Order: sequence, then C-alpha cells, then structure tokens
Amino acid sequence: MHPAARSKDLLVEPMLDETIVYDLEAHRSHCLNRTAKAVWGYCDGKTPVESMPDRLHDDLGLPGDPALICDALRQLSEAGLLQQPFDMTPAPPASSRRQLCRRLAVAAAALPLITSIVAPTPAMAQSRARRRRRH
Amino acid sequence: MLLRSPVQTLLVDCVSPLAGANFYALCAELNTWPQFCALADRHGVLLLAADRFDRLSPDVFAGQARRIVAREARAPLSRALELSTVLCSVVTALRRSGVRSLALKGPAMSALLYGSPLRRQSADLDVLISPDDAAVAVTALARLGYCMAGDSGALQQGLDLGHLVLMPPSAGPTLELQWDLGRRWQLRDTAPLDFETAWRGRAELAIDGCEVSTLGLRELALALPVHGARHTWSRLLWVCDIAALLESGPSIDWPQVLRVAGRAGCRRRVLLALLLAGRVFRFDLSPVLAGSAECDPPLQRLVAEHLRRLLPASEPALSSELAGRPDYEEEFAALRLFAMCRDGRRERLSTMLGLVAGKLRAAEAAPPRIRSRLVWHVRRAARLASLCLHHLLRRLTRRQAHSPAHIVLG
Repeated sequence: MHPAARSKDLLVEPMLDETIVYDLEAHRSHCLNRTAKAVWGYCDGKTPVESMPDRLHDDLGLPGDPALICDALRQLSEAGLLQQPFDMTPAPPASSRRQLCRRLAVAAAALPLITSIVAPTPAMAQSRARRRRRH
Repeated sequence: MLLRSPVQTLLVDCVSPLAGANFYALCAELNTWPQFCALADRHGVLLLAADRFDRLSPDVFAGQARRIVAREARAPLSRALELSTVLCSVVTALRRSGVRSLALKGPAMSALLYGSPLRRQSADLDVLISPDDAAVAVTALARLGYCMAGDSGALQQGLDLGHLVLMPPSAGPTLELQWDLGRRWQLRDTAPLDFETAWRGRAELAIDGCEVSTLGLRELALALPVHGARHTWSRLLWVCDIAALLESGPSIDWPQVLRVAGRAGCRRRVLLALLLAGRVFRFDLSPVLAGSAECDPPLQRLVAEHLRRLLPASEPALSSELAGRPDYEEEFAALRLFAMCRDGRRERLSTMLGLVAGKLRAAEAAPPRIRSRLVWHVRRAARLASLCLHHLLRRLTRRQAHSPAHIVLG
C-alpha cells in the first residue's frame, strides 16, 4: 500500500515542532505533531507503508513499530489529509495510546497526534473586540 | 522604561526588533508560561512571540515552555491562516467586479511589516475601497454570502462615517468595508488617507498566490498612529507595528509625514506613536523627530500615561474583564487620553465633549428602575449641552465630508 498525502487546497505552516494545516475545502485546521508530520511527509504515493517504520526510526529515532505508522495513517485519513482513505488489511491489533507508550517505551508526546483546532467564531471575536475599548 | 514583571519584560524583549540583553536568561528562568501566553494573546503578539521562539535553537527554548507556547499559538495561527484565505477570496471577488481594494491591517499588513501574513493577530478583515465603488462592492460580496450586520440605525451611522460591517456566510471572520478613513478617524483634512491618494502609494503583495494591495509605508506612517491612538494604545501589537514600520521603512520622509500630519490634525498622534515605540523598545529617535517631539511638551506626559496603561503594574484579571463591569474612572481616563492626543485645544475640547455626550446617551438608555428621575434629567441636560458645544466646535474645526447616499439599507 502506498498512501499519498493530499496537497490540494491545504495551507501548511510549521510552528515550534508542530505543523498547522488549514483545509480550504472544509475550513478546518489540524495540528500535526512531529511524528504525524513525519509520517505525512512519507505519504508521497511511492513509499510503501512497510518501509515507513524504518524511515521513522532513522529520522526521529522512534521505535520502528508498524503500530505507530498505522496510528498516524489512521489519524491522517480521519482528518482528510490523505488522497484516499487509509484502510490497512490485515489491521494490526488495536492498542490504546497508553498501551503503545508502554509497549514501545516512549513518551506520549512521541506518539503521532493530530488535533483539530477550533478557531474563534465571529461572535467570539466580536465579544473580544467589544471588551477592548472603542471610541 | 520601568517594566513591572519578568513576564512583561520577556514579552517586550521577544517582540522587540532589538533583542534585549536579558532575553535568554529570562527565557530560562520564567516558569509562568501560561501567564506569558495569555498576556501575549491579550496584546495580539502571541504569533510574533512564537515566531521568535521558533527561530531559537531547541536547546535554548525546550521542554515544557516550548510545548505550552506551541499549544497556545495553535488557535491564533489557525485564525491567521483562515483570515489570509478569506482575504484572498474577498480581494478576488472585488477585482472581478472591477472594484479596486486596499487590504488594511490583518494579513496584508503582517506580510508588509513582518514578512509573513501569519504574524499579526486580527479578529476581522478590513478593506478600503473607493466611495464610488461601495454599492458595487456590497453586491459583489453579497454573492460570496456576506450580509449587512446590525440594525438600520447602526448601519446608517456606519454609512455616514464611511464604513460597513458585513457578516460572513458561515463561521468566518467579519469583513469591514471602509471608504472614508479620514472621516471615520476624525481627521481635519481627510485627503492624505482618501482612497485615491492611498491607491497611488499602495504596496503590492502576494498572499497565498493572490495579489493583494495594501497601504504603502507613507500612508501607514499616518494610519498606524491614528489607529493606535483611537484605541489609546492598549495593545502591544500596535506599538510593534510602529517599530516594524521604522525598521522596514528607513526611507520614509518623516519631516514630510509630520507636515502632512499637521495639516490633517494628527501630528501629535504621529509623534506620540514614535515616542511610545522608542520608549517601549528602547531606541532613540532621529534628532529631527526628537526635536519635533520636544516642541510639544505635553507629549512626554502622554507617553508616560499610555505606557502605564499598556503595561500596568498589575494586569487586570480576565475574569473581571469578562464580567463587563463598567469602571467609570478607567473609562474617563481613557476618554481624556483619547482627547488629549488631538492637535489643538479646540479640537481636544470638541472631542472630549462628543465622547462625554456619547457616554451620557448610553447611560440614559439604562433600564428605568436603576435611574432616578432627577439624575436622568441632569444627565439629559448635560448631554444636550455637551452635544451642542461639540457640534459647534466641530463646525468650526472640520470641513464637511460627503456621505454616500447610494447604498440602500436592507
């Protein structure tokens, strides 16, 4: 399987070890941590999933475990950052983040994580603006 | 300048064009990073600060501090990305309708002053257009889903002052159309900031592959001080803008800017902005500017008062801000500062009276059960008297500007 990252209608901005991706279609933002960003970078449509654990190990020094890659690809797929939805068959046994941390002996921050960001709505922005003094 | 806390000192140092001597030591020592981020966000400089930290080596800025700043910068950065996207769609829609537009503040100014559209925090978008294009622009933006906000009274008041707030079709930023900045900002002579003058001096930028025009540095040298004074310089971001302008525009002919500002009635505001930026970021103004500032003795006192408000000894608690309790002493101090920044005694008095009349009108609108009849009559009389004086003085000091009657409300 050779997952390909979506590149159309996305704005990507790195900031302090994280990467903010703004989806112009869905008008949503996602925050990718270093591991998720690295896996997203491997999704060039040519790199097989099987070779990604080794690359991750080489690049970030993380354990070359397929579960880590599967977790990242699943999150990328759910966030709509892959061209095709990721569906790995046969799927590796599901593990929670805590189980992964324990099994791989890594900190939770090292696991792939994609967070959706809620930008302030106009009403929130206006209420903030009203609090500032206007004359 | 005396800064009151390590958080304030670090905040100023990390957004300063000149790195402070204690910057690295403060970074290492500070252990109240959530407080730092909250203050930076309140002053609109969290993205500038995060960018500064981002350029430091991970060895210097690491661990918990790095994680906290990154986490707190996510939402503003996401908002900045959204604003730049929406700005491009708005500018493109206006261009297709044959409307020339100049993006104010927000991503365009961020790109011009800081080299990236994602460094200035803004809540909404502001676009300056020609008064002749106002109706066409509203129609073009309606096709994007924008609609007018507020009741007809507020809309009419906005139209009279040359601006219109448009609500987005979904959860996006509001858009403010402006076509008479000089009138809205109460300049004596509106010509230096009218659309045609601004268009001739415009700066062209590329934001996400879209060509965007914005105010040129010479116009910014007038607009930024007037805008900052309008908000009594309550955010560090506006002072940063002045410092960035001084840094990015060494070719600005400041004596000429001061001459134009003198005609427009905002010379004191321009000098105040420059002095304030110099005091906050600890740099000296050129002898010409310093000499001009010395000719206006109250300026130093005004700078000191603004500094006290900008970085107070104790930051107001967010909870009391949210409670929205009116602080009349604070409000009056802000009104007085606002009026004192005007050029000329007559204009200052007129401004003060106009502001007081506005506040009294708001007080009159309070629910009947909390106002006594006597107080109500006294307030009403005071408001009418101040309004009369205000209008009389305005007629003496300002020329009439045209009102665009061609926008139909509804």
